[in-house]
Amino acid sequence: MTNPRTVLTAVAVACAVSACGSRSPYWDTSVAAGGGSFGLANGVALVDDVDHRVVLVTALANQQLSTHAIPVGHNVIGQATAISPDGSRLFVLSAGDTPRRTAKDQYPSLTVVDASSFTAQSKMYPTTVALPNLAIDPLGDWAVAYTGPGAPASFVQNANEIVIFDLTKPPSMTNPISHTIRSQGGTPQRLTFTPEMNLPKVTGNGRLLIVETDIDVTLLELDHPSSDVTVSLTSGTNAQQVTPAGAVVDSGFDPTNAKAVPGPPRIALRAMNNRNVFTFTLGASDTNDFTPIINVVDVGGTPTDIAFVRADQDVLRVAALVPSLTSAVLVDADTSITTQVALPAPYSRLSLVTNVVGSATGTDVAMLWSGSASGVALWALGNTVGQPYHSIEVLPITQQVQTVDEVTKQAQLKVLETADASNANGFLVLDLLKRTASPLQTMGKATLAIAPDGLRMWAFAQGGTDLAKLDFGGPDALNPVPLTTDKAIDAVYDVARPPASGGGDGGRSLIAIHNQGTVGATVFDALNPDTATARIVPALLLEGP
Amino acid sequence: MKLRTTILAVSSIVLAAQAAQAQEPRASLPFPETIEPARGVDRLKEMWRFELGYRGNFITDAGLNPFSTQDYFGQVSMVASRTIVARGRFSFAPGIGWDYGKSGATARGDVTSLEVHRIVVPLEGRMHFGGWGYAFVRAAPGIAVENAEVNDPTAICAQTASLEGCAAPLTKSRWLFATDISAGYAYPVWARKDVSELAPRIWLQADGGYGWIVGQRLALATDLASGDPRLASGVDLGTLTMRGAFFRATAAVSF
Repeated sequence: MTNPRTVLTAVAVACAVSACGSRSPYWDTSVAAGGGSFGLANGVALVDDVDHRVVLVTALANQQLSTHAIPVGHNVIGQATAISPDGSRLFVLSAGDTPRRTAKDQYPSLTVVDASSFTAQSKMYPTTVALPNLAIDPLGDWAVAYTGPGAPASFVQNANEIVIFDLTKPPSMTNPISHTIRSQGGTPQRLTFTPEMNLPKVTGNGRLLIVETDIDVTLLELDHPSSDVTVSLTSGTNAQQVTPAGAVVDSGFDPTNAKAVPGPPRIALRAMNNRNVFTFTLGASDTNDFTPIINVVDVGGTPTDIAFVRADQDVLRVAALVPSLTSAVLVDADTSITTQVALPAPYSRLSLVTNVVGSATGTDVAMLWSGSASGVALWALGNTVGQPYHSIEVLPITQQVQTVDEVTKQAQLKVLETADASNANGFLVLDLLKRTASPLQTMGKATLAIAPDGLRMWAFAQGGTDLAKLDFGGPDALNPVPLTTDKAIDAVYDVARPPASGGGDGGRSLIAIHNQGTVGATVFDALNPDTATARIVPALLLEGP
Repeated sequence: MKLRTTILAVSSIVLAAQAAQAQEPRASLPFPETIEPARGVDRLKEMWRFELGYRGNFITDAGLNPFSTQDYFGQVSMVASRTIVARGRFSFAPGIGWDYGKSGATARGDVTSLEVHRIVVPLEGRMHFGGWGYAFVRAAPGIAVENAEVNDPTAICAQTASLEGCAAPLTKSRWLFATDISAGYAYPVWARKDVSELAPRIWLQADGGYGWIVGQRLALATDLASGDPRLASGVDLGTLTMRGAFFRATAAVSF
């Protein structure tokens, strides 16, 4: 009879000497299809959820790539992964392990990857509740998780709960904080961060979060979320539901005159299928940091876009586009007096371009376009009231404009994505200063990617292998450089290479992502792309221990 | 005619010589005749051997993980050897051996394979126990070639004209130094009683020991045709060192 202890000892020794190890689960986890790639200023982030990490891909000279993995929380919520507007940070919201069965199982968390340098760092903010949507502050100070539209993520869910992350502070017991907004039956659908506002009782300048629900709106001071105010938009006189469709903000400060006495901060709101524009003037309150004074103004039709504008005599107005009237309506923010301005076409979108085209009188200029009507117009608001026909300049564009893309660092340039009946999209590059619009045709639907340095753009066929580069300036401006790849392109990113001080050459690379297998890429020199010097880099999410 | 004459002459000489020898008196010998049997070769000790069997390697190196779901690598093993020195109960037999194995798995969804050929010179010292066979120790220096392959759909197509779904494998192949040290026992399961008889004998044998192939960096490259001008990077799967304990069970035939 063999002594069991002897047998166990022998087995242990045999294991130590020979085998009995185990294969890492990493090799057994296939890369999830459509895991997602995100363009950062200095590279591309590939979310590898099954391996609980983000792989940062950075470009090197000679079209080489290097990868660097950063751990993130378990069960990444794909729709809540976002980048900061400047491309320096990546935000990854994770649901954690559900249900938790061991102490090692994770809680929900937000991982913030700071990729502003080529050596990325990350911070993880644990939280207690998994919410499926994330709103990022354009100024980079805040992030807010919220429920938003869609099915509940758990059996019972508080749809009005939001989680506020102060990104300027490290994770702690008080960061993030969870808060339930005052609800009158609505649930948050869209969040807007205001700039610093001239709030009456706030030392310094406070910032608000505007929470649009499906029936009302909540104003919440980010530093003191408990002082939130919810305003019902639905009239008590009828049962029609008023659903907010977009908010705009005036901080009260005059951006053109820093010495001017600031006025009261204002918020304007439009609603779906509703003829009213709602304005909120934030005044002082005895019990709160502010109180909204509400004005409801009928503009004669459903507004499709609104903006605060400074018209003649430097009066602040809300400009509302009402395509059903083929007009714009100016609403005086103080008196609620309206002025209708007839437009040559039923424009539905507007964007202020005052900083580009300039204004001698200090009044605003807006660019107007529509997805359902042809053309683009410039609306000089200083000459508007009483002289509407002389204030509109129609630009020589005959196509319907679906989307207007901004060009970083070249505000005078706008890329207008058009759509025609054949579904083969073209696009135009509009120069607001020269008043030129250069049309570019494509054989099929093109996806555009504008380089973060604002010097060029890329057009590619998503799911195809065709790619083209267009410079915005120089002798070859807007002359397409045709390129092709061996594999189908899912996304392209124009990224910086490390500077000479960081061991690089300071150039730029174009990384075309092929989202198959373990994700590959084709890398071009972005400044001088050539298929002869392009490099195919396979299996970016496959590497040894 | 000439041939027949020659044969007859030779036959006559042989018969005459035998008759003359038979007529010689026995008394002419000074001592009685003693017949000492010719000393036979012990073919359980001095022999040609050919072995064929199975070798199981326990490889705990993480570099094997992309190619195997287990920390184990099986091989076919063949050895041919010849006893060149035999002194008393001991003998020494060098030889030549070849082990071959292939393992396949999926790594993150990519189909992978690893093929290993090992060619060694086994130097075997034996201690014999007569009809009970012999114990042996074996050192087997040699060389090995490892062929690693990963099939990823994002790899470049080997053909110049791109085809949907076409992807060349990512491969690496390299010759490396290898060696084994093992000890075991061989038992003759089918042998003649006459140990000197030149006839085949069947053996069963087993040994265990430690095998080692020098580690290498698995920097796999796209397998493009020579002269293909396209630039393609590879994939780095870390370092693979095929080392660990092994066992071997073989059947052998000796002469």
